[in-house]
Formats: sequence, C-alpha cells, structure tokens
Amino acid sequence: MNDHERARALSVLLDAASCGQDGAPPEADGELRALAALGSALGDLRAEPGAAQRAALERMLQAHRADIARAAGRREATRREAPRPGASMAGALAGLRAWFSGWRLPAAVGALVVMLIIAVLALVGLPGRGGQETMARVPSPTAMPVPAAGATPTPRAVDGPTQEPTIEPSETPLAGPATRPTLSPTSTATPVAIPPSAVALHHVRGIVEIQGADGRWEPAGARPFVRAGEDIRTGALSGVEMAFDDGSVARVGADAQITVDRLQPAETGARAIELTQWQGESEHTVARAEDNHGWYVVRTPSGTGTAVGTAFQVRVTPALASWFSIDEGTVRVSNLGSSVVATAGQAALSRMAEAPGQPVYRVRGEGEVTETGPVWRIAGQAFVVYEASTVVGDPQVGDWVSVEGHVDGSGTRYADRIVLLTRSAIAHVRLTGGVDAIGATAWTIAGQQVTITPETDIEEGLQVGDAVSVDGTIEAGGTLVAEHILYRGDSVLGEAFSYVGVVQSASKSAWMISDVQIALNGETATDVDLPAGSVVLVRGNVLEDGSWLARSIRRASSQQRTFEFVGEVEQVDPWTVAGIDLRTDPYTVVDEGIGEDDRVRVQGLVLDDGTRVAEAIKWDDRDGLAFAFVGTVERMDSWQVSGIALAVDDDTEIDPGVDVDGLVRVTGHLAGTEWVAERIEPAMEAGEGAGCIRQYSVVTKVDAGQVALLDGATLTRGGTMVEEGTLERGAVVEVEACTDRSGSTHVVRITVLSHVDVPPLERPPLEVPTDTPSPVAGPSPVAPPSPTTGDEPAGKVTICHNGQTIEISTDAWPAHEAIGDTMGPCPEPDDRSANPPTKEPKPTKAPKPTKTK
Amino acid sequence: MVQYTRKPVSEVRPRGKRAGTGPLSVSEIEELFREYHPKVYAYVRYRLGDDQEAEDLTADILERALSRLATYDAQKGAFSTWLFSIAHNMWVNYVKKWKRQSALQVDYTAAVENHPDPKTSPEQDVLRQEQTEQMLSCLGTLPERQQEILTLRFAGQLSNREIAHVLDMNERTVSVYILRALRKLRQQLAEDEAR
Repeated sequence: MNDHERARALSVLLDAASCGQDGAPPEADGELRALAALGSALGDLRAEPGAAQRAALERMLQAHRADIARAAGRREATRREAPRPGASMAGALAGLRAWFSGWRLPAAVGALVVMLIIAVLALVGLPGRGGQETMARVPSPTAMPVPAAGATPTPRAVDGPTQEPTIEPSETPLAGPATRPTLSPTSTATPVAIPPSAVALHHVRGIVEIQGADGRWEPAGARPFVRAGEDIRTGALSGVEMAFDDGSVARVGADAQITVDRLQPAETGARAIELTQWQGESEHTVARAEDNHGWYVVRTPSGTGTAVGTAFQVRVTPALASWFSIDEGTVRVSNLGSSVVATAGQAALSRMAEAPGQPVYRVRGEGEVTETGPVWRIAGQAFVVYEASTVVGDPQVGDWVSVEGHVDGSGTRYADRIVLLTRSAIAHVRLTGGVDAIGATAWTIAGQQVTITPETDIEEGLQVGDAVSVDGTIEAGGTLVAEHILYRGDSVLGEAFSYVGVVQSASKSAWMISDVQIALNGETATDVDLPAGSVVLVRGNVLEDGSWLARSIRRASSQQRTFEFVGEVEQVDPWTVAGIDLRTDPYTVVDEGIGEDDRVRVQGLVLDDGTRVAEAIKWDDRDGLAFAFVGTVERMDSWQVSGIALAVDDDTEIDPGVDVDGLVRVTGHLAGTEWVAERIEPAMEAGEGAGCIRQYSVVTKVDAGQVALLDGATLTRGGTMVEEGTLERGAVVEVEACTDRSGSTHVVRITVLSHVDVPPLERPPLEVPTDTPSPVAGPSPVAPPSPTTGDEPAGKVTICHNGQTIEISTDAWPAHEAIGDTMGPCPEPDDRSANPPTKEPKPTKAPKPTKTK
Repeated sequence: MVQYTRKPVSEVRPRGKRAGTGPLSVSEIEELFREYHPKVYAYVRYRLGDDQEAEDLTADILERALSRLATYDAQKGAFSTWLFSIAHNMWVNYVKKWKRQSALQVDYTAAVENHPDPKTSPEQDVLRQEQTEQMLSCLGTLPERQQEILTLRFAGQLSNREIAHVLDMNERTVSVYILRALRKLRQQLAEDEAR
C-alpha cells in the first residue's frame, strides 16, 4: 500500500473515530490504527471558550444583526445610517451603543466614552458609518496652485491645496500615509463643472498636458477639461480619458497628442466631435447621435476616420501611417478623396500620400510564446512577423504576451504588435543574501557563485557585506547568471524598492514620478537633466511610515521596465497594493492566503501605457527564505532540480504530484553552499502554448453541422463551441480559440457582430503554400477577395451609399443598386449640419508636434 | 491601444465547488456562529501559547466574519469552509505580522478547570494535562503546513475536503499531509518519551 492509499485508509479511520464508530477498513494495519488513535487524542484536546467569550460572541451577533439579516436575504429597516447634524440624540446614542457593543469594552467605560463622543459630535456634526465610508478630502483641482511658467514645479500634496511636504534635504521622510507612498490626487479630484464647449478629463495617469490659446503647456491637473481648439498630449507611461458630453469617450495612450478641432453639442444642432491625432494611440467609444445625425471624426496625418455610434481604435505609427481598428459599428476611413468602410472586426490602414487600403480582418489575443523567429507561435497559433511588426519587451519562448494583427485573404495571420506581459518563471531564480566577494565576471553571494555578464544590471554602490537580492537564470549545469543585483535593504533603512516611472514634477526634497511621491535626501544620487517627461528608474527604501525614499534616480533605458516594492494590500483581484493598481495574468504568482491589509512584496513589469503587470505578489517575509526558483526535477533519489543539487531532509515539504521531469517551484534557504529545500511543489505554469486568440471573419456557408468562414476555416458546430447570435451567410463573426495547458486548441466561442451588405461568395480553393511566408514581404494587408460574377477583373466605381460617397467593386454594383444606392458621388449638402463633410478637411495646425526633451 | 484580457488569479488555481444547503435564516446563521465559535477558538488555541491572545484573535476572526457576511453565499459553499478561510488568512497574517514561531508553550490549565471531568481524579487530570502539553509541544515542532492541516482537522474539525477548499489544495494532498504529519508527530512523541 503506497502513501496515497494509506492516507485514504487513515482518513476513513479518522472519520469513523470522530463519529464514535469503529469501522476500520480491512487494510488498516497496526501503524494506521496507531495513527488514528493519535488523531483521536489530538481531537480530544479541544479547548473550549469560556463564559466571557461566549457572552462576547452574543454581543457581536447583536451588533451585526443587520449584516446577518442581509445575509439571510431580508432587509432590515434598522440600517445603521449616520445621523445628520441636527438628528435626534437618541438615534445617535443607539447607533454608537450598537457600535461599541461589539467590542469587549467594559460597560461603564463604554458608556462614558459614548457620552463623550456624543458631546463632541453634537458640536461638530456626526460622521458616516455603516455602509458609508468617509472619503479622504482632496483638494479641488481648481484650488491647486498653478505654477508660473518656468517655475520649478512643486509636488502635489494630498491633504489640502496649501500643504507642502515638510521634508528637509537631509533627513526626515515625507509625512505621508502610514501604509502607502503619497499618491497624486488627480484621479480622485472633486468633480468640477465642465463648460459646454469642453471635454472632461478623467483617469489622468502620469504626464498629461494641455496647450491653451497662448501656446503654453500646462499640467492637466490644473483644470480637468480641454476646450475646442486646444491640444492635449501625454508623456511616456501616461494616459488620460476624454469624456464628451454626449457620452462618447476617447482613451488616450502614452506619447500621444490630439487636437480638439471642434465640439458641437447636440443641443445646438447635429452633434459634432472632430479630433486630430498627431501621434500615439487612442481608443474611441462613440455614442450614437440622436436621429443618427452628427458625426465623430478622427483625423490623422495619413487618413480620417468618421464614425457614427461605434467603438474603434486609432494608432498612428512612428512612420505616420494610421491603423483604424473597429470593435463595433462602422468607420469610414478616407484619404486623398478615397474612402473605405471598415466594420466591426476589421481594420484599415491608411498611409501618407496613399488611398486607404481595403479593410482586413483583425486577430488579437494573449498567450504563451512557444516559437519565435519569422513565424511566432502564440497561444498555439502561428503569426508571421513582417517588417512593420513591433515587438515590445523582448519576449522569449515561455513568456506570456499579447498580440494584435490581421489576417490576409489566404488566412495567414500577421502580427502587427507583440507585447511582453509577464516573463516565464521557468529557470528563473531569486536569491537573497550577503555579498561575500565581488569579481569582474562573478560575485559570491550567500556562498554561491553568481556569474556577471555585461548585461547584468548591478545597482550602484554595492559593497562586500551588503544584503542584496539577485534575480537571474539557471543555465545548464546549474550555473547562476545574474540579471539584476539590487540592494535588499535592512531593518534600519527599510525594504528596498525599484520603480520605473515618468517624472511629473521635481523639487529639492520630493519628486512626483508616475503619480507616486518620492522623497529625496542629501544622499540621493540623480542624473542631471531629468525634466518632466523623462522616464526614470528609482531605487530606494520603503520607510517605516510607508513613504518612499530614493537612493538614486537615473534615466531608464528602454529595456528597464521592471519594478519591485513592498506595501499593504488594499484590494484583491483586481489588485491594489500601496495604492498602486496592478494587473495580473495566468503567470502571476500569488502566495497563498494573501488578503487585504497584508504586507506583500510585488514584482512586475510596467508597460508602455503605464499599466503595471504583477509577475509576483508574495508575503513580505523579511526573515524568510533565501531562494526561490522554478525548474525541472532531474533526480529525486539525491535531489537535483535544473542542475542545482538540493539538500532535502525530513522537514522538507514535498507536495504530492512532484515527479521526475515535472516542473516544480523550490523555496528554501542557503546553509554554507548547500541549497536547503524547505518546500518543493508543482509549479503553476500556464502550460504549453496556452492562451486565447480572437479572430474576425465572415461566414460564407452554414449548415446544421458546420460553419465555413471567408479565411478558409471550417468550424464544427456543437460540442464545447458556444454560438452567440444567428449564424448565417454574411455574418461578421468573432471566433475565439483557446489552447489549454496540454496544448490542445479548441474553438470556444463564435459571436456574430454584424452582417455585410453584400454577402461574399465562397472563396475559391487556393494552393497550399509549401514554404513559410517570408517575413520581409511588404506589409500591405491583402483584403478578402471581392465577390465576382465572371472571370474579367473587377474595376471600381464611385457610388453614393446611405448618404456617403464610397468606392466599390463594379461587380458589387448590382447589389447596391438593388438597395437604392446611386452611381457617382453624393450631392453636396445645402445644410452642413445635417450631413458630414465629404471632402477631407485640412488640419488646422502644423502636423509635427515637438516633444519636450 | 493594446487591450488585455485579464484572467482572475482564481482561475489559475481553480477552487472546488460544493453544493451549499440553500439560503439560511437569521437564527440559523447565528447558530452556525455559536457552533463554530469553539472550533475557531480551538484552532487558534492550538497554535498560540497564550489564552488571552487566542481569545483576542478569535474575537477578531469572528468580528471580521460578521462584518463580511455579505461575501458568504450559502448556495456556493459550506459555512465552515468560508469561516475557516477567514480564520486561516487572519492566522497567517497574524504570524507574519508578529513573527511568531509555531512552537507552543501551552497552558491548558484554564481549559481543564472549565471542563473538569467528574469521572476522573485530580491526579488523572494532571496527567492528562501533562500529556496534552507534551502532545501540543510536539505539534509545534512540525513544519508549518503540517501544523496548519492538523489543526484544521482536529481543532477545527474540518473534513479533508473542507481543508482542501480553505487551503486551496487538492483533497488527496491533504490526506497525505495528515498521514505524514501524524507519523512525524508519533515519532517525535516517542523520542520525547525515550529521553
């Protein structure tokens, strides 16, 4: 009988014993019976709470009567709502008595305190309680002092507009909140009345500036709106949300600049919103205008998108080409007098001095990388990387990435952008300990030799004897190669942190960096010339009061995007630690049992738009383990994992499921040169090529058993595939395919988004290509084939379709004629307010914005 | 702009679901608290060497559970699992916060006095107390995870399945842990007696 079987038999014995039975299974030998007896003896040790505790429980149950009633599904009228000033004293007394009755406070003292508090509150007014949280008061942005042009910006205080940090250069930390660094209050600013011809700004993150009529740029915190005729721009790792009065929203990403050309609210005529996006990315959710009049226009240097009631994204590339990607509805993309109409699931590319290309179908998703090179495999799907592809963050095989791209007429997927979200933990090691020796190519840390390469990031000023943390990889044979060596901190100075952000403001004693206030003292080392907008790497220590004191502030390289800090958990899933919002994904390692108010250490990556993705959220165990890594079990008789020999003894916890060739997470401490394993558990990795990809296409044929798509795919209906909407020929669909941890890919969902006006004919069969597509092929996306009625090549004609001038294939003309379209461009409207413009409006400003260095 | 499909961490570690018993009345909820109060206290008392601290932590656990009753859905799981999840999290937090060792210095005198067994003599009570102290002292030498599982099993009186839900483990893993922990405890007791 192996351990699993014995464990099961023992459980049966223990369960029987707890019921007072003696139902011993036949396989229960002497050892099992002895263990069962021991278990029974343990069960007999139960301590009982005393009378005082039982009475305290009754008081708690009384105090929480309303909570219990709500949980039982009944509302009680006795909701504990804060009595307002002037309300009856009796009500206040009852409420406060109920509050204190839940505590083990002697009755006499409790009554005295209650009376004292009532007396005080009667003078100043009663606070809220129960479901009402008291919000920290933050100053109205209009009350904030606006720095004069050219003045050194001063950091923003949290409590009141006139409170300045009191830190002196050489010593005391900021008097911030005890549990978190001082945060910028802009995202929680009190609402301010927005003028009718202005756009409200929400969720300001990092550097966001407005250029007024006088040409000066000022921080968006000075006023939370932008008027027609003004520009708004964002810095690195920054973003903002523009909310229009009709409900439309534009989310602006990092390094973007947008001019608000025109704002015409619906009350004065047809709703008109006209923007020019000079650079960067934005995401638009457009509210449908009343009576379908009005328009929403986004111009770029290489094209214009016009939308009515839709959701789409606009990305202006560094080469000033513009991608318009549609989530809902339709967008007409025009340039140089030519237009195309893109619908949900499609994207259209418009280049400088060229007519827009025909729309292509999009593909996007997230997943594990299993192959790189000319063709990447992400979430089990192949993506061709071509000359215009952007790869961000240097992802490697095993890492988790997001991918956006398009599909050509042959069904080939092209990756337009691949972004690293989380690195794989496999063969990555974290080691903490003292520096024993420093050499040119290797250091000795906690008795272990750690190889140093030219790429190793070593914090400045480290010396023998310093406590450090090392993050690196385990190479063949168990060699450790360091990627980062950072000062760990100590019990006096506090835990170390590392933070990448954008400089928003700076003073002698405190800087605001990506909405976090960083304190400086006389020992803080900084690079010269780090103006607002610079992306910097800050290293320092989290002080006892929770404030962050910098040891160094340096300009960050484009590859430096990691962060690490210690703080208290404010919210779980979605996570907020020390006031900083974090994203998680299947690779995020979260220690068991972490909940609100717990002190944790967070490690992760910051993305270009400022999003912080957590790679690990762990207990902040200062006296804890010295190493942790994920590797493959090579031997178990004398333990070896990924080339590292482990010392395993009776105290080592080895989880069931650990086996040779399996992936495990090992944690432990170093004793001399020995890696003493304290725990070995199966690693929670996402798996071979796991992830989900969503691809858009058009249904060409449907029957009871199958759905055929324009890209050549044929899906089997039923099974685990969920159908949303009516599948019929011409339906534009989103197909979601997911790969599980075993590497199996399944279509999990097909969703109907819209229908094309002219259903495409079935795609003629193509020859299967024998070679891998060349990655240097031109980036022009190939549109799906137009419907043809014969063998002659299809020409193009200009027609007026639903009041809009568009170009279509001549072969598509019969279908359009049948629905009432007319040949030739649409007539010029007499009343401009009733119809959107048909010609490309010229931008009103010079196209090249200058960036602040 | 890049859009990220954020998958909740709970989906990475899927938790087993167990059919609940349906909506509870006010009195049923109150009875559950009364029923589990001793179990929570015993769970905490096993781990702490001080009566007063155990009382305080137990009260904190129950107070938090009552204030978060809105998160309890009887349709989705047993009350015991929900309550001991809170207890476990608060215990872990307590340990991390105060850097307590798990080894006990047990004083069960109060417990024995509160519940004297009329069938036993005072001498037998003293012997029982000594044995209790010895057993719990040895319990404190076990690795943390084994202590936690044994405490939930014998003090909290949770089933293996409930323990698996609380600790987000596989049920089979829990049973193996119990086997190994009891073996180690037995060995430790034998070594103690031999001295």
